Amino acid sequence: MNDEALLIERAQNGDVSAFEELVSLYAKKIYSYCYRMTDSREDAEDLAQEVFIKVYRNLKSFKGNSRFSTWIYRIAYNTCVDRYRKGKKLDTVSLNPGKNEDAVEIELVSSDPLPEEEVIKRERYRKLQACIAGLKPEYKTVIILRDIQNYSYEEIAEILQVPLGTVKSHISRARAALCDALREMLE
Amino acid sequence: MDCRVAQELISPYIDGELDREEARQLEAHIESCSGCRQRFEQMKTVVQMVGALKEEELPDGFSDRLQARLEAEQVTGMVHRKHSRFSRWIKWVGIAAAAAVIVLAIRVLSLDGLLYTSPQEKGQTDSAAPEDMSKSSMEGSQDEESAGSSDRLAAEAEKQQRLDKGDVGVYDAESETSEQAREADGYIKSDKVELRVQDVCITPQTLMIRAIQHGIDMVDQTENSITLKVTSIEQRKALYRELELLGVVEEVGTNFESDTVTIVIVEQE
Repeated sequence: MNDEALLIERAQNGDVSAFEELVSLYAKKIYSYCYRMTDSREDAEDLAQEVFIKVYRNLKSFKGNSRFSTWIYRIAYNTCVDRYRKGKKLDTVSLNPGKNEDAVEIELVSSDPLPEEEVIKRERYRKLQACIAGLKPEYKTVIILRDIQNYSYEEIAEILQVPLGTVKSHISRARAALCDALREMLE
Repeated sequence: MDCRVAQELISPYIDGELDREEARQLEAHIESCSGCRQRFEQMKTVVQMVGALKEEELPDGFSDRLQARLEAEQVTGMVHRKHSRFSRWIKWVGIAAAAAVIVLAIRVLSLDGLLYTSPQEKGQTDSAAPEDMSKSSMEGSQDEESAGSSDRLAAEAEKQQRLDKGDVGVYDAESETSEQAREADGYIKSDKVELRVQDVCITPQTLMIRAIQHGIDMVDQTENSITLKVTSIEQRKALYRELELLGVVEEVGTNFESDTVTIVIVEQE
């Protein structure tokens, strides 16, 4: 039994410190996932916390039939999509990022003018992040899971509970949409 | 290869998801088609750019705020459990009340009989038991029909009636076997039970705390079970009542002579 499996078992038996260790293993990953999905740090924190509360509530029902990481990402995906369905902020459609919280952050933290190269890099990063967040939820989630978190097609199919062919076509369409959105930058 | 097909294959090609023949055909197409070649280069760049995005740092205070929310969750869970305990308590009060009503009804209906038999009972011996029991069970069944109560309630009423009558000697004289049959669900009989729970917070420690309250000592403990030393029928009853408040109790042991009981906590879906 590996370390994570032991932690899960301990947490399932009510060991709070084991649960905290599990949280620390996944907190950044899940927060980042939620941030890429929402493009909002505030919403990402709220959603990530909601994910861990659901994990806490349902830990006993985790039987180890799938990997724990797959299970926790499934909860994260469902939590983000639920929020989207409820009409809260999980902004999509617009692929034209405007001024946003990160841009403000950059201005506030940099008293010295940034080197031009750095400004361009940050602007590219900013635009890319906004373009990902602007995709439909099922597209942005496959982009995040495949290209940022490096999950295989099979694992993504397991997380999203969809056929492999769907994963393949979603990844393909999501990347094509990003190419179109970032055309200026890419040419 | 058609350009539309080629563009569909670019993404899986980048991930190495095409079989050798498809990959070869796509490579040949890209070689000869500048539009698809450009698309391939763009998509490769996009994948690299997205892949270069780093994990976000957690906001300051994330863990503290999560901790606070989890603690609130635990409190809510406790309130929920208390509520559930309360509901079960109400259920037992209801059963007790129903039993009391039945006893009263029996007493009123058979008042004459009671007055008549009462003087006899003072000097009663064990030989009076069969007559008394058959009478009680008849009364019990009559009551069952009229009140529509369960077997268990009828049995409770019967027992209560006999106790009310001062029939203690007869009751005590009964063998333990018939006592077990009478109170089939009333206490833990074997050396092992399964406690099926839905509440993730029920642990062997939870059971230990409950056991201590009834003067029951712990013998052993594992991750999902606890073994307790039970020295009297009262302790077995008390333990059963405690377990019933926490979940569904199922006898799984085969040794009915043991003075220990192992309770295995089983999570119920």
